[in-house]
Amino acid sequence: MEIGNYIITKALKLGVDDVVVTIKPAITKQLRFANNEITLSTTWDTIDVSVFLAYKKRLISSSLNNPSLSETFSSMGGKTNLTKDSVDKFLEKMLKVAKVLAPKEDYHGIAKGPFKYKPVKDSYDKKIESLGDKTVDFVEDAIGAATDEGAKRCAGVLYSSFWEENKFTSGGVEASDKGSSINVSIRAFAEKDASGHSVSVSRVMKEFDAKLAGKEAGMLAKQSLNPVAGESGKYDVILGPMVAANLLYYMSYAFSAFEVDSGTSFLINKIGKKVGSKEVTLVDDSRMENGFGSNMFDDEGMPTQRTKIIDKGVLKTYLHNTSTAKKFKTKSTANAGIIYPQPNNLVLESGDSSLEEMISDVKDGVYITNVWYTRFANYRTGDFSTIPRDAMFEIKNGKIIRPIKGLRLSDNMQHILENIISVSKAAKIIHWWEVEIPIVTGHVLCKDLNMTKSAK
Amino acid sequence: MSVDKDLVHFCVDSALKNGASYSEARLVSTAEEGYILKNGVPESSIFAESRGIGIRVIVDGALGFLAINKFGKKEIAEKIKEVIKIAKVASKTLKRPVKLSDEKTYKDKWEIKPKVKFEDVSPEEKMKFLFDLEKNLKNLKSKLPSRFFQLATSNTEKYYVNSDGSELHGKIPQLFMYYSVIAVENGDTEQRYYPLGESGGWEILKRRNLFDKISEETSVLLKILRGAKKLPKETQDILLSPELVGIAMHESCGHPGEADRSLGREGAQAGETYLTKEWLGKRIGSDVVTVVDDPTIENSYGFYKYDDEGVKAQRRVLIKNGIINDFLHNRWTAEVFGMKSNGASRAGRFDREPIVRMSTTFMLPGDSSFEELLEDIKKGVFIKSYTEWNIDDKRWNAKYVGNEAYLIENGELKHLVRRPVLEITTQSFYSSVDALGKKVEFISGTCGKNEPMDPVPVWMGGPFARLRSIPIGSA
Repeated sequence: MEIGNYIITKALKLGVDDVVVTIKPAITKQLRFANNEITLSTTWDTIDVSVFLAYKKRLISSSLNNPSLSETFSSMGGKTNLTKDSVDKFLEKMLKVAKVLAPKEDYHGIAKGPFKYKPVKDSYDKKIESLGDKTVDFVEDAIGAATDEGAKRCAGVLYSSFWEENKFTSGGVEASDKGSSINVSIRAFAEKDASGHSVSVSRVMKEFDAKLAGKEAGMLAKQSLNPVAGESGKYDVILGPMVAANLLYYMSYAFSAFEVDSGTSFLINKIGKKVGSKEVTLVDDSRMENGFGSNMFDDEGMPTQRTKIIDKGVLKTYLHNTSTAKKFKTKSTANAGIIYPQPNNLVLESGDSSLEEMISDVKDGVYITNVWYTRFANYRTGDFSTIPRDAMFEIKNGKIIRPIKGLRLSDNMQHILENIISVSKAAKIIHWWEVEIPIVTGHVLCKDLNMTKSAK
Repeated sequence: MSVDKDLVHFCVDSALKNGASYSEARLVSTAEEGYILKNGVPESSIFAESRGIGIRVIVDGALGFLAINKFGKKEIAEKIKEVIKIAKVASKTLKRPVKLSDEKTYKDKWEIKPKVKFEDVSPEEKMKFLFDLEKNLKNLKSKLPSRFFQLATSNTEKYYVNSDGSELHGKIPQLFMYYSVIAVENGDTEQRYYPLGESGGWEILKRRNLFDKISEETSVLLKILRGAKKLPKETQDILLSPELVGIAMHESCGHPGEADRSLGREGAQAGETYLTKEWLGKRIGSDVVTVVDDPTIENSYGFYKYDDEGVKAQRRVLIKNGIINDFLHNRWTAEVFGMKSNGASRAGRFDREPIVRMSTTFMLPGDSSFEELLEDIKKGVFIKSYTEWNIDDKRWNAKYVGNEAYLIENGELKHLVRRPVLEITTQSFYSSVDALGKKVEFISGTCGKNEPMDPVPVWMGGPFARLRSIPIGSA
């Protein structure tokens, strides 16, 4: 670990005010599959080194995925063939640059430690390190479970990963965390227009269930055979977990103090105000047990916490790092991003409903199981649209009557939060290609949402 | 910058020695700088160096890929062995072993030479450019609570070797500039964002007059808020700018034309496509519609001389006079289709698998002037820029929401209309085009595909295009 401390000491000696060094060696393995075959197996064996420097409010973020430096770093603690020269040269170069930059006048520093950290339960499982080619079995399990349900072909991806994160800061932080993860994303097709998608996402083996993901995807594929064209209009809409997760992920920018400060959030000046129905309690739980994004510390090295963003519909806080918190005259929520605070595990707290109850509550509605391509007409208002893919169903008088296709959800993010009638008790972690921040949610019933379709 | 060529050859040889029937290695070294000015305040500047090797192998008909940024030969050789071992196990799931099309091999060195190198422009000057853009907004600033300017420059050097015998060494500098503004007036708001990317050096910013463009576009935002009228939904003609035609070409011609999507390989990510091999030779649009994808335009953001499988870059005609003419191919899809690759294999970074990607996708021009296109419209809408857009994962149902848009009456542009929504199928879009402008213009973008996500720089464009009888109205 001496190299991290060396960079801190050297940078401070050169006159830098704040320094944060992150060294993250990681091994990630991936199996991609399509048409029930494994199309590619990949191994990433990398070490990422990033250094943040603040000199008289002039800020530089640098990443050095350069073997000439990172090989040196990777030998930390062991045989050091460290060329301190290369580190010195790098720091001198960065400082020279910093001196000619303009200051960020509203920069207010990083967290001051040292801190005590509590490990997050179920965030590392040694078994994941030695899976080897067993991962091929998991892929076959997922595909097998989907085809058992009636799917003809499946596509998807399986990841297994383990890493170490070492943090050193001029705020007195010297910390290290270890993590692992395993996750599968599977899309099953029963016919060209009949598909279902599901995921299983975990930090530890015991909670990982490739078969269940395959089964769920396969069932949806089968249920959505022979869809008819849907009609545009206002509907009560049941958002499946993949859909709710997509919308929460895409609206999560609005919780970041960076976006509020930029003037781009639809939640500007709404702290203490009602922004959702009483069913909406939204939490960033960065310390969640088996949370896919859980971590002991944030990017400044501050111990992570559980933060209520929306409590029964009322906006409680934005997500902050040390600097944005000082600007907003509040406390950091330990969500650094040194530049851009963001959630780690965004959790929509469970309600007491179920999918079956929701369906029976809907007179004229739509059940959407997955969406993609969420885009905003205006970030400041939250006007957006997103497109269902995979199974979608029409509901009449409390019953699913048929699979439908060809609709688009064109609405507004705050309107959606305000119109949530119920949230299911059961929830799952969603993280896949379209949803890059882990979101924990169940089924969500929203009234009066706007569905549109191609006019020609 | 310099690359360790010996190490790249070592990777290719090491894979062959350990049982691969094909191998390729790509060392990519990139130095990037980034600057951001947010509401007049600079954010952290970014200085990033990355260097690593991506090694792709075929073992028992299965593809394996290793991305590594540790350069010890012993360590790399060990990892190659591991990748080969897993690929062997994975090969048991294959019904059809992976084969690549036979292609000509090349040994070449190529370079885009900037007129003004990024490293010869100081960070101070780069940041000053953003401050000047901010100053240029002058008295409009009070109405623009969100002003975001971003500048990024990169120098990339790539050394590619494959076991067929290709050795390619390329260097490319690229510039990316992005701005977004949100205007507010009487509690109402509109946004505009615009990306600009090109291959070349600092001279790009001198050639492009962003100052006038940003001032003009922000003034228009305020005009929209002050006076744009809602457009009742009815069937009428529409005139699309090159910006609108460009995004449509990317979304509803380029993406569906990616042969790997057609073969289902991106099914769980970016999705599939309505196009199958059987569509070749079938009509999707009117006679005037010809769309190409062309990586050989030198200053374009999607430029390359050889793709990331060593195949020489070439223009592909995807739609020819309204008929589906070709797909975008890499060496695997070409082999499955029984043809040669047309050089569309790209990876944005060393640690991504090269797959089928676009470069510069655009509709070829016609012979009408803007006035001629306009004068023949009795009632319609001219959409000059867009804000929200999306398309389904088969590339059939698209939506484009107009930003700056005008009512057309009896061949004349009238008042601004508010957020007209064009929600249309791919076939209706291409079938409705009846006339095109004379000049092609391009917009820049960063195309998303692959897993993990691998953004690659692209251009897209076309001429002004007139579409007849389209149902359209305000959101």
